Amino acid sequence: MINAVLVFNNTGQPRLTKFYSQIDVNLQQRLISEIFTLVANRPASACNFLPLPPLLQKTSSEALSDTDQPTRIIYRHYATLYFIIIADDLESELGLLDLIQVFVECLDRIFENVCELDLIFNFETLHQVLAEMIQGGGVVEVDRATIVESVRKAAKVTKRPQASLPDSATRSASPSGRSTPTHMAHRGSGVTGIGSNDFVWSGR
Amino acid sequence: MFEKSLYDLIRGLRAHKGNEKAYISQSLQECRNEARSNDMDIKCAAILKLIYLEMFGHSMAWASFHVLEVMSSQKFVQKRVGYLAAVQSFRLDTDVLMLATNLLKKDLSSPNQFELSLAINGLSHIVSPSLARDLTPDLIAKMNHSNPYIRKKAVLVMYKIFLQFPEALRTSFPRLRERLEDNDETVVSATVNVICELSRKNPKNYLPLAPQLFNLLTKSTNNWMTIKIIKLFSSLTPLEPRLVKKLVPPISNIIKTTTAMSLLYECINGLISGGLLTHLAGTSDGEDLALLCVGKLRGFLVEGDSNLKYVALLALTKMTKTHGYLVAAEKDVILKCIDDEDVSIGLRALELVVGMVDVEILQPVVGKLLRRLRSISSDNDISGEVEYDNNEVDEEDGEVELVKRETGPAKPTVSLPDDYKDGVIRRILEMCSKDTYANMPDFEWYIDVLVQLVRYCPGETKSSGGQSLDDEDFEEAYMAGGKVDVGEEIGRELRNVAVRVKTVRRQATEAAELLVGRSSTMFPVSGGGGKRALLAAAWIVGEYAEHLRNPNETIDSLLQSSNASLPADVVTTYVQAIPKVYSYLTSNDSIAWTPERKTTVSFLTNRVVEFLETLSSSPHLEVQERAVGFLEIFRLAKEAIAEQPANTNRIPDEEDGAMQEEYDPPLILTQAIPSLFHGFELNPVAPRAQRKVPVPDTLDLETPINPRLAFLLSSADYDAGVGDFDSTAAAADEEFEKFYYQKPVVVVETAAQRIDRAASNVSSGDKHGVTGSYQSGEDTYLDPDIVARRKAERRERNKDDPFYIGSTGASGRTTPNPLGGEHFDIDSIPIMKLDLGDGIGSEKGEGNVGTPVPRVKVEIAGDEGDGVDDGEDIEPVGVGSMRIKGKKGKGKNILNVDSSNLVGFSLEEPAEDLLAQEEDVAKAKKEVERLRGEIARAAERVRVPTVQPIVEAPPQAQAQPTEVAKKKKKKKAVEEGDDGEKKKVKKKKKKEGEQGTGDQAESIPVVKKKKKKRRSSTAEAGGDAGEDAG
Repeated sequence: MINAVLVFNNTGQPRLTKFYSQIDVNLQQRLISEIFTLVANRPASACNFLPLPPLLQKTSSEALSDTDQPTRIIYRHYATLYFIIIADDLESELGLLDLIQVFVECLDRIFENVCELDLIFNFETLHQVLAEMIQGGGVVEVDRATIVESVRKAAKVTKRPQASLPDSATRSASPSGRSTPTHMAHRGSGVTGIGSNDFVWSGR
Repeated sequence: MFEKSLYDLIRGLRAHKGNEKAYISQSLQECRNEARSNDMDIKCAAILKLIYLEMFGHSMAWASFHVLEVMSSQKFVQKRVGYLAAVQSFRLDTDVLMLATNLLKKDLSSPNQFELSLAINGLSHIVSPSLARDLTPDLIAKMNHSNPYIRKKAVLVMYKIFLQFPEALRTSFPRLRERLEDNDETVVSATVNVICELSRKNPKNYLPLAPQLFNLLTKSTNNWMTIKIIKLFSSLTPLEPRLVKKLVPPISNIIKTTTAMSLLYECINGLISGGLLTHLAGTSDGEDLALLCVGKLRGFLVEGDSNLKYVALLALTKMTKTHGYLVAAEKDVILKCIDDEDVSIGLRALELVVGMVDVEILQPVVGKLLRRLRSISSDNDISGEVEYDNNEVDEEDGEVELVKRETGPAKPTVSLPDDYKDGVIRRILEMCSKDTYANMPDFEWYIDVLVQLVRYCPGETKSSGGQSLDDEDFEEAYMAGGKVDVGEEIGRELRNVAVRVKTVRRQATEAAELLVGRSSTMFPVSGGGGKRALLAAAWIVGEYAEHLRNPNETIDSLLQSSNASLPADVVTTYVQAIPKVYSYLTSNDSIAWTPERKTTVSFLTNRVVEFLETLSSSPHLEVQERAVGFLEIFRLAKEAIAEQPANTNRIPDEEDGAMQEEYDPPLILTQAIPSLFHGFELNPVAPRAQRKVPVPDTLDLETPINPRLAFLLSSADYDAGVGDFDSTAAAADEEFEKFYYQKPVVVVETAAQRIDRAASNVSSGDKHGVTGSYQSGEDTYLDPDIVARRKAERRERNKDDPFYIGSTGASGRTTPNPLGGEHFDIDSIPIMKLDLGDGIGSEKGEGNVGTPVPRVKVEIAGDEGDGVDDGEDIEPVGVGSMRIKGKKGKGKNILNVDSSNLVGFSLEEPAEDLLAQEEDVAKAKKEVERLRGEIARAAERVRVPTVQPIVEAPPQAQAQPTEVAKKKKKKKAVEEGDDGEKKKVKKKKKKEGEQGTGDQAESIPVVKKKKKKRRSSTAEAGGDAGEDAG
């Protein structure tokens, strides 16, 4: 089971929070900040596995009885963003690393050279991509093409009745509405794109 | 008014950097208003903004009803926003959840696959037990959907359903099993995923699937699925050992052929954690396989990718249990990893290394680690460096270290986390102390390492701060898994060495001396960890004062007024150590009692008194008590010193000073105070040794020790007084003596005896016999009749008093009378001595609890830790406390999924369960029927308002014969089959439709609150019927 998927930037601003178990909003924020402090201090050369933050550490009694504990936090750092997955030991560490990679690649295909601003302004799309990959903590799809296609098709569905809709309601929802964010990116504060160069992945 | 879109909100947020708070609260307020809007577009935009803000921690729980409205929108775009909001914000206790059933049912039957997938995905987050129960049939149907896109999601959501409603597992399992044969790989993968999760809860349900899964394993090309299948098998193999043989060929085949590192690693991991290697251990197959694994893992370590290194170390750690020798063969690469830049890899490697250390590699490994620590904290220990450069630690591997030192600071040192330092130090201690120092080649080196480590201690943790832990507490904390401060841990090691290893006791003491001497510079008041190492250091300094390099300086540093600000338990040991060192300094009676000597000693005594005076008002009870106790002794000593003229041999206490030499120092210094501390040699004792001491049968803790305590006390005082004053009848300062003899009677009592004894035999050589005669001699001081009476009285009183007897045995004082109790006339000891035994003997008593060491000066047998008296349960403190590493008492697991429902849930329905279920179903149906009946009646009543008053209750309804009949009929119909029910429901719907209460077909749960409950239940029923029809 995957327990959570988090995306935040270099300053700890959340860009996507998805918890597959229901926890209180304040706890979510605490967890994010704890993980951020853990992750922010790591040198680039360090491995992509984090120790458990205090919030997630086992109590001795729980450790004995329960097997559903989150035991691994896997992260990847792309340009300005950290992608984090919290999972238990039924997931494969290296597999999840790949999963983050798949996620980012899909985003890159959808946004064409994705950058942080794309994700900020299209956070609903971000959620959609994630939902195509992970549902309720289980991985449903890892094929990039299928994921991208599903998201695009769903976007087309939204367009069919769109003729009668005012634009404002759909803009943020549909990936095609990203023209504005792109402008922002050009104008914006020098946010470096998560260029496709970063995606050269040795593969495992 | 112009409404902000999400886009505007985000831009606004970016524009208001610095005072986002105000902007957000303003926006939230706007959202509140907009969410109430009747315009669905505005409502939807508001919800979207709320989702965005929720990401930053602004709860949108209040908007759940609006979310539901948006979810039920006709437009896909809006519906999607609604579902996203539900996913992000709904909780099990969200009350609108029960209104969502119908909506979900409707969306689950949508012809649009995206709507359908939206509903399934939404459900996977918000499913509650009742939703699960109601929607299971729909989802089971969806598992056979024509589109694999839906099938995979439907399969996956089932796991969430099972978590909430385990019964669904029984009904849906056959279909789930079918999905393993699905022609779409992603569906199979999702199915495997679900079964994998389920199998961990109760693996035996899924053993029958083994052939199918095995088939998949051999054919699969999807690495994701293969990984899951391997994980699944590793939960099955413990139940079915025969699987092991079957699995080995395909898995080793994958290991040999795959190029995917993740799969390779998971195969190895599966072999290990599935117990396959354990099962095969010993067979040649098993050895080959293990060798193959280790070889691959070695490849990981060598390759240089830090992630691979990390996981390889994880796997190797697991392998040590079964194939330790194979892992040990990879020592070279593993040792390299200790030095890895990545601290998490370093720690992992260290964990492995701890299990592999032997005499040869211990020193190099520790040297490496120390260098690592040094580079971390190189800036703040320059002062210590000089001192230690000439010591063993550098001689051992001095060259390498020097090189390192030069390059060390040049490197951009990343500030390493404290817990890393903490972990490394603990590992070092664990490594060194393993098996009671079995691997320790050189103790002097170890002592130096310990001192070095104190400097590297991370800042103090709040958890174990100034709390004083006496042994009992410690044991408790130890049992509860509390974490001991790492500085204290180091101190403990130092003490362990000092006690256990006699040959380096001097070095250990000198090390402790160094720590105490430099405490003010080494441990600044703020920050700086390791302070608690002083706890043991101070103890060592006191206990082994004779080994001190410079006792004068040491007592100086012990007496520094800043010491009062140390943690309370440390101060306590200080208070205890001061008299010991003092006694060592002053008790030497071969030093002539010259005026200079007198001045020095009285100056020192004054300082001690001053120091103790400041502590005697300490807020910490323990500190205060000890300080006050010793303060009295030292005041006495001070008096005695003042009384004792230099260069004379006249002793105020003693008349018969014939044997005294010239210039004798006061006896309180040479005899009384030392007698407090010279006891049995302390031996290491297992932490639980106390428990092994059998409780004497006669021990009775219920009855008061002595009902006549008060009387005894006063008579004891009197007794003591008599004893003393008889012997010192001519002493001039009776008044003064009396003043002091009254309060700390206990101590002074001994002192007096000491003095007496010393007076009668000065040299320490002739202990035997003389004391005995002295004892009897004391009796002669008393009037014979009094003695006889008191003896008889006491014997009578204490006949059955175990405490009394025990005290003579355990008081362990240095009665230089080896014959102990028999010759020592216990009757002549006032009962007050009990306190004495407690106060002075406490440490020593504990030191000897395990075994009654009969002799004072016994060599500790085999000093390298073999000195543990306790035969079996050897558990040196240092090692024992390491066991608690890594555990933290606090921290609840928040991301936990409650899967307790599924644990041990069997697929086969137990018979009673079936019955119970049927009963439940029947009950539920009855309830539904009742409600329906009521609705129908209400409807009729509305139509014919004159027939029945509106205020009606079920009992009244029963009064109507027709109604009752109807009800019965209905029930029957329900039992007969769904068709009957359907019709009925439809009929009812019609009725309500006629009332004009709303469009049933739409069945939007958004209705006026008044009728909400009733309506939703009807709606549910309607939906049920609809589904069945469809």
